Amino acid sequence: MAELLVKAIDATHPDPVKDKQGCYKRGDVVVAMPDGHKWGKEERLPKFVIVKIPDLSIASAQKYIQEEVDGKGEPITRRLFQVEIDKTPLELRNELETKGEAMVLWNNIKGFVKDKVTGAPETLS
Amino acid sequence: MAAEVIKTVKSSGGDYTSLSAWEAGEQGDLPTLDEIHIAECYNFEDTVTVLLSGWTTDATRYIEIRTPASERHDGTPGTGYRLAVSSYAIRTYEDYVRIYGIEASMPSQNNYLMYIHTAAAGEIRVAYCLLHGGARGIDDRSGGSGHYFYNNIIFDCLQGIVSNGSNSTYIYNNTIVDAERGLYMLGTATNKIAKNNLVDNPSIEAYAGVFDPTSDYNASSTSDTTGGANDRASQTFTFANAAGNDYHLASNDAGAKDYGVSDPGSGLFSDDIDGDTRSGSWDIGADEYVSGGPTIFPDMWHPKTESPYPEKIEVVGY
Repeated sequence: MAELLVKAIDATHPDPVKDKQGCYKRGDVVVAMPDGHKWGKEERLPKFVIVKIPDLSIASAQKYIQEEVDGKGEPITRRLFQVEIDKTPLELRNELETKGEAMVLWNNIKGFVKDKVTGAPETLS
Repeated sequence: MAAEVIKTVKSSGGDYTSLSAWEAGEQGDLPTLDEIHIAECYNFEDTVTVLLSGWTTDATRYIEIRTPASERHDGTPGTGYRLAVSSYAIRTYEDYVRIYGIEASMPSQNNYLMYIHTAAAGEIRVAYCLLHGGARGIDDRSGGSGHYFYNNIIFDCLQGIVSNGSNSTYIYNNTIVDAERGLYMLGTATNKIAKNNLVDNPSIEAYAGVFDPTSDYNASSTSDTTGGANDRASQTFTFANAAGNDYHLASNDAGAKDYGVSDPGSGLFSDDIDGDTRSGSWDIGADEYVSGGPTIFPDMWHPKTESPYPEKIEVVGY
């Protein structure tokens, strides 16, 4: 039910503060759209990959586009969660890196969705 | 001269399908690239909040977010590209940003629509926008080198435009309706120059805080002013269809029409929110009344950009 637009490459900034706070990194989920979304011409490799998760609701997917923020609500990093693309099973990773998109069930990818603060994989069923 | 890199944001068939994705895809060091990065937004409802951060910009290599004339609101809600969000519409932490012709709204006044962070230390422009339903239409906290807010219509926000930074801020020809406060200059605000603004029906006050002494020709329906010799307090404004949130001036308006000063921005702009050329003594507020209704000219404020759209689109019925 949800399709995630995931950053495939790091953006960088020479100022380490701006780099951490403002630059999207590989694995950050940029937006979540419903099944069947017609993605734009730039919303694909080399900048992005699309992860289609038919059993993840669009409402649940909103969790993965939240920023990591401090106590005042100021962003610390662009995203609290990150898809660890490089740790996903080879078949899935190959599909993402060659086709730029892949369909996967939530149970098969949630262990590779990491909370950047705790380092823990996602456990949401 | 810096090259313009224009990408489209469309519901389908464009480069990106949300302004947020455009920002993620186009982040970069614009002075090194020697580029201006432009998002051209087409008519649809975009529901993803936007954060401008992690870029490098300067005075001639900047970020621009705009709408082609055919895709822009006509001054009323739901008529062009729109950010309909539950939190901030656009937050900028970047120094040089221009935002033209965007409609932004939220349902519950729970946050700011256009938020300019203290980190945004350069020139920021917000113009031709339709902003409604936020806690603040524009919230400016920066100490930048010059911020320009002009030709915006803002309604149903708690505050219209708030300036809370040490920057020089130029606030010209905005229409603000049904806010608690219209223009609100907070804290140590200095060099806040307001001209030709219209504030109607504020529940607390139209103009709050300290304005630069050159502020003038501002009008309100209440007794407070910015202190200018030509400010117009306690006016009655007549709009085309206030009940329908159409705040173009009506032909019989006697509160704002022809009461402004000409060219308050010294060449910054010469049109109104619809692209109508202003003439004579300018009207106060975002709209310049023209007989027969507003006329939208394509990319009037971007004459260097070729436009694929018709020369002129007439909207009748005002």
